[in-house]
Amino acid sequence: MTDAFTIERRRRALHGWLLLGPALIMLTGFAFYPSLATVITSLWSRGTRRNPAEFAGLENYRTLFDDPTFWQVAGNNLAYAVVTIPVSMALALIMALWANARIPARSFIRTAYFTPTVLPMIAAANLWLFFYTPSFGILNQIGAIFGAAPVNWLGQPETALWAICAVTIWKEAGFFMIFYLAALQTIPPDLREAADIEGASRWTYTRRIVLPLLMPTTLFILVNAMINSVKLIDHLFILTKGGPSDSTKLILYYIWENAFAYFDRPAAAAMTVLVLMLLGALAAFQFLVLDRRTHYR
Amino acid sequence: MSFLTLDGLTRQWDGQGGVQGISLSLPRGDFLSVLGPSGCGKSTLLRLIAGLEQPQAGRIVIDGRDVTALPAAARNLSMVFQSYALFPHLSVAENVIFGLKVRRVARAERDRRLAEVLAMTGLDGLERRKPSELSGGQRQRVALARAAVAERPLCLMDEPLSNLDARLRHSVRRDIRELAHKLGLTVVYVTHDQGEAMSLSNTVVLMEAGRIEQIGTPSELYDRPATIFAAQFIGEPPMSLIEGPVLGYTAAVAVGIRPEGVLLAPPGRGDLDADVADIEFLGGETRLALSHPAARGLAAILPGAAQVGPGQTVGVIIPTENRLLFNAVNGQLEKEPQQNPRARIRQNTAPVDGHKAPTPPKPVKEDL
Repeated sequence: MTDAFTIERRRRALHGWLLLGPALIMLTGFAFYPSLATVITSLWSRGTRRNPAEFAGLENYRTLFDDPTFWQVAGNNLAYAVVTIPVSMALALIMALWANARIPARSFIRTAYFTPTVLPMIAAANLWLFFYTPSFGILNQIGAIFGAAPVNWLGQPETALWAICAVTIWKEAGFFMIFYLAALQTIPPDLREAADIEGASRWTYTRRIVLPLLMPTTLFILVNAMINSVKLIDHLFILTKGGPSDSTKLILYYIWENAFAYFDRPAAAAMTVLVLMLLGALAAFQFLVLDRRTHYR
Repeated sequence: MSFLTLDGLTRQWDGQGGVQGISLSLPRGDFLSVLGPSGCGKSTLLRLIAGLEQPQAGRIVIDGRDVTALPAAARNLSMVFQSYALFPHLSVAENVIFGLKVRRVARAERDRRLAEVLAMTGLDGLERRKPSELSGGQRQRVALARAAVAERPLCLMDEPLSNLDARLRHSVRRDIRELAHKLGLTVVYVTHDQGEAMSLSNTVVLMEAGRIEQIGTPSELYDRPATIFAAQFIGEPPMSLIEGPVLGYTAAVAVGIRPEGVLLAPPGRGDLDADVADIEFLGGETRLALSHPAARGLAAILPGAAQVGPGQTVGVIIPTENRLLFNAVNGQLEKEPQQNPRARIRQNTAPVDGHKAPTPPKPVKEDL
């Protein structure tokens, strides 16, 4: 039966699908299908022309868990995240509070803070390579003025990971600052004045009013920082290539190595699945648990 | 003994705006309204008193203490903001006791004062709500409660009712007056709404372009405006101004008259003839807008429905005892009606159709 009502309903459904179409096609092609393919690849053995791939179940994962390098890389990445996320967020907040205050040359300071974000990571890494160079790099030259012995920051396992962390913090803090700055500017100045009249100190105002009002932004930045702590590895290619003795190898770099240097795609796929699961769990925790304790306007 | 004294207070930006040379003094427990058109500096004045703005010249004395150089927190006052300035992430109760917590008031004392203030403002039961879950009127009351709980003798209010709808404005107005009375507060209340200023306060300060135009009780401002500006700002509709020569004065005089003091007569039998430009029937009364080439804002208020139509010509009687004479050059009030020697003579000629000339303040209007 094709009365006017049915035709109208079909027309609406068609419009709906047409509007949905582009996003659906793109997401399917570049997100859903690759994720699914990764899961499938991780369950099959590595195929060569003579030995075609066969279903291996969780064999790839078992191999991975037996691989000491995997555990070292996971540990590196954890240390990297634990250091870079809080430090870059705290720096971003402090810089934003400062850049939001009434100070001279405010826009210059904001621009200066934001510059590292504009630089491509590869270019930034090359800069830092020069800073870290033993003997004639800037850090060692400054150290030499005070009589310190030259340190090969990137060349020894004890300092290499921390040197990498410093680059990331330098790169990320300015980016996060912009979000904090934007959020700070949405806080009406009345609140400050009301708190002033009540006798609240600057610190009390920041702690009791500003920080809670920044919570949604903090949450957003936290999610981004966590994703970046897994995702942002460009500088490794320039600075250390994961060395010395795997001390700066992060999980995504190791995945890349497995996939494109050792051509062990199942191992890379298995690691990717683990990373996806971890990030998914973190995101779920943040949005389900932290969200409830956050004030949104 | 004056509680709040301002002495030559000046704050301007690049020689413009703001306020200049504001001096006034206010006894304890007084309700002062600062009234004026937007941009006249009334909010600046309030912020200067609050300590949110620093004066370039002048002194502020609160309760015998010179607070000119003190920060806002040390001035022992509370403030209600136009936007309410409630902390959006805190509940009603937390908003109200924020200041007490900052000042480390003991918990028992805090709870007692909170309960007291919530009851007073009719907010009990809403303690745990966030400001976003409240209506405009409730938010307004939270802001009042926050000011009241501080138990400070001076309370500043910056257009606290301007975000409310008309009906609510009326009831909150009563609440504010009651609260101020109950707590014995000295209030400085900034508003651009003359109805609020007239109904709430004991004293009204009328401001214009950063200066005080007139200070007085509401009835003084209404009955004896000091300047043409005051005459035309206060009253709804405002005072009408008639050029002097029309009524037998010199050109240096402008005659002011309240619409309720204007009487109508048949054409040719009044002081002047005017055309009816507009008729507004308001139920209990009818407002006529009259047009005359030498009069500004001439209007009359008649009881009940009017028997005239738009475009009709009517005679207008300006009873001498209701006239205010202004200097047409500098706008100052020259003579009060009682001092006008011609008042007695004119009074007897006014009635034209057998009615006696009515006496203010309750004039009887004539139907035509």
